[in-house]
Amino acid sequence: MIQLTTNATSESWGIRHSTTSRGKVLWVDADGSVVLYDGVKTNALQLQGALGAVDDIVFALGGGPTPIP
Amino acid sequence: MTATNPIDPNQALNVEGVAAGDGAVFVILQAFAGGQAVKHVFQVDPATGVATNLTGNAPVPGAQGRLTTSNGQAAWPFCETTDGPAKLHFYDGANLRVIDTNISGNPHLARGRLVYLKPVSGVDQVFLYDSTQSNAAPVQLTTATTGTNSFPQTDGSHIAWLRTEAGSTNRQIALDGGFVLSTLDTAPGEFNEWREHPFQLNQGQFLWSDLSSRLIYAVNARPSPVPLDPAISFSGNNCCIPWLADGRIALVGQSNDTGSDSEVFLFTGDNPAKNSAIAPFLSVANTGPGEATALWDKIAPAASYNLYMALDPRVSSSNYTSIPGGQKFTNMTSPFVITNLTNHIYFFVVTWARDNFESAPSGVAAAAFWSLGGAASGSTQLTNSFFAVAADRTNGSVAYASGGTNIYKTTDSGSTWSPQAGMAGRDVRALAVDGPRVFAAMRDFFGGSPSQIWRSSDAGGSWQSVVPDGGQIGEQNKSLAVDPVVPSTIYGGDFHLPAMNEPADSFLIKSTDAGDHWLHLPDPTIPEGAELRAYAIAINPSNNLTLYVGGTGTPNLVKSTDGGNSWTNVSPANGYVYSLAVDPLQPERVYAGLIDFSHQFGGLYNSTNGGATWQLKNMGLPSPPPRISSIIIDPILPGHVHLGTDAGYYFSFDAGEHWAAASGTLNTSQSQNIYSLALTEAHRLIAGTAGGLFVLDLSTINAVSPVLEIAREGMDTALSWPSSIVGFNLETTSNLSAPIQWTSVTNRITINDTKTTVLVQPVAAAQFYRLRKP
Repeated sequence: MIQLTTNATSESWGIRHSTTSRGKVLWVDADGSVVLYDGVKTNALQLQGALGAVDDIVFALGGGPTPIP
Repeated sequence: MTATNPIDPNQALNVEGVAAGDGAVFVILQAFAGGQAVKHVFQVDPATGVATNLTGNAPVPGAQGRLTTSNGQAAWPFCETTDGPAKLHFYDGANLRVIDTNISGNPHLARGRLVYLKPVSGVDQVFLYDSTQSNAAPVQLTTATTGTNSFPQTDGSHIAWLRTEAGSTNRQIALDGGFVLSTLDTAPGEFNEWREHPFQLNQGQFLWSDLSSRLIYAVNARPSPVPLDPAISFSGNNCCIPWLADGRIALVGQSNDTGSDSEVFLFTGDNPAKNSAIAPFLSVANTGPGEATALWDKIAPAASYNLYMALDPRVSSSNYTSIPGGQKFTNMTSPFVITNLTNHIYFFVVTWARDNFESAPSGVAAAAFWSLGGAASGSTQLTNSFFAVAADRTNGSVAYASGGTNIYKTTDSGSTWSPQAGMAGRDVRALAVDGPRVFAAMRDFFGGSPSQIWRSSDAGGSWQSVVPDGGQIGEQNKSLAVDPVVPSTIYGGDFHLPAMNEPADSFLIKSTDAGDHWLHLPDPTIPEGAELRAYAIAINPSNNLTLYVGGTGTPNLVKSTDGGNSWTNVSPANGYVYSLAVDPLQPERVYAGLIDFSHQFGGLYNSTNGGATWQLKNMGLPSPPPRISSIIIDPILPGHVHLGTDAGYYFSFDAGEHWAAASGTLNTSQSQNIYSLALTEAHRLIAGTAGGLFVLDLSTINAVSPVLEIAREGMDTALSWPSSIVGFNLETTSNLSAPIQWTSVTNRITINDTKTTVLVQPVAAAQFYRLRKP
């Protein structure tokens, strides 16, 4: 078990669709940014900026362009 | 993403749902018509973000529930009228079709297989639509007319759903074909944040939260709690559902690093099998004398199944011909009944096949066939309560047992037993053996006869009392242990000699002269008032000054590193310790069987650091855990551990990580109440139970088959095999046509550090040789 975040704010995702695939994990942080752990490091994919809050019922991470054989 | 509102192109759309996978993205976009929500499904080009409407422009309620996608296909429930029946829409990657109507809940799609619910006669039934088949059509998988079925899931191979029987509140994870994955102990818990996914299925692996809020991860149909750090909580505030994919689990939980905020964690589990080779799940149960029944779940792409059986847990589709008892059953249908099974544990795996492809094997399942031991003279079977069993580790098939107020001896690993002269009428509760020296401890009664220790120095032929007054502390449980390094040192538990100095002395006594003289060992000095009650004693065979003593005292488990002169509290939890064992191959690995009548802490505890810390290892044991009376660790096979409990026999071949029940023919409440286990050098496991003495032949497990080499050596022929492998006879024949007449080779044997060699004179004809274990 590894801990991917160590900040003082909460991370979250939704209960409808998987947010992990092939060792990658997608979440929303307390600032409303969408963050991806790519298997090695975490990257902010999209800052909230002027955008609205992320709706976690429409939040999923797919498996990439090709199915697992 | 760009999309056109199908009702009013000038109006925006709300995104109401999404499904992404395998390079495809589908969304539900909501418009409004006359104030009513209209939801249509769009496919999104991941490269351009352009969304294409798949379900038309009609002002209908449209898509309901959740989208599901796999391999470029997608499915969803769709309503054309308010409160109308939900149709099952299936997009096959090119065209949209309606598969069924009046469905319930959400469908699930994986690798071309679509599972969903539809009410039939008032009960939601599970249906499969397999788009990989020509002329695909819905197939009803369940038929129960009572109870409930919900949440169907598939990984394209397994098909599972949540099943609750009528009148029950226990949920089960049921699979197609009648296999049930969850147990009472691991039943899926309350839904709460799991309401959308009471369990998850991905590439043959499962994840759910059980009634105890444990996160359960099942690989090869073996559920285990995810080992969460105690500092991590995955439930409560600031938490949401974990996700399982590709052998990893992502979870948001709380840690104690910087406060009460949640953090992201990633657990790496087992690498899943390739989707195309996912194996069935298999269970095997004893269903009659010499009979076992194998049951496995149906795998969607399977055309047939092969079942493999052997007397070794390493059985697989590739090695079954080279291990004892290996056998293959082809083109099988579940459930399958196997008969004529004898006194062994039989191990099974199953594969599925289609055309020329065969899948990976399932996890191993087992069935045990215990034999009831009998009296050596006549055909009387010994069905009394047998409280103690001890094997002579220096003599392959010798063991002793106490029961029916006598001591019995076997010289054939438990098949037949003879009462020992001089011990008739004595109620012996503990035995210890070192070659010809045998020690027996009797129970005591308040106000009655004191406990005694008897010794035989001639392998049970005659007996002398070496502790005639062991006190009357009213204790039925006694314990004895012979030092494995210095066998003249013996420990005895729960005695009160006349010379006992209370409160400084403990109830643990020790002899250093093979039982001639005994003295009390001290109680622990910490905590104040500490008092040992020694139900179990275990000595480190690599360092005989280190021993562990457990029981009902305070502390309930202590460790000494100076032969019992001082003690350290190493209690794993509240409760009473009934059994202890030190792993002879890894002496820092210690096991303790603990019973807790509040049912909070009991079960099997395991320490890998000599008792400094303990982990509860109950996976596979009943809930609440049984009283574990006996723990046997195989001295040769790493990680092989055997438990005798008041709920039958359990074994683990992974050092306690998982337990499998193998009571089998221990099928009465008396015979399942095991007081003691012993493993003979010949690898026969003997169980002393409330219903008699039983034996199970384990000699075939991890049995080593030596390679017999043949070479010219001067004018002779040399036949040789590794000298580390003993117990085989060399046999020869000149003709392999049935019936083969093998005869023993009695030529002189030469043994060096590496090889056992027999020289024979060549003959002018074919001659064949083999090694055979009698």
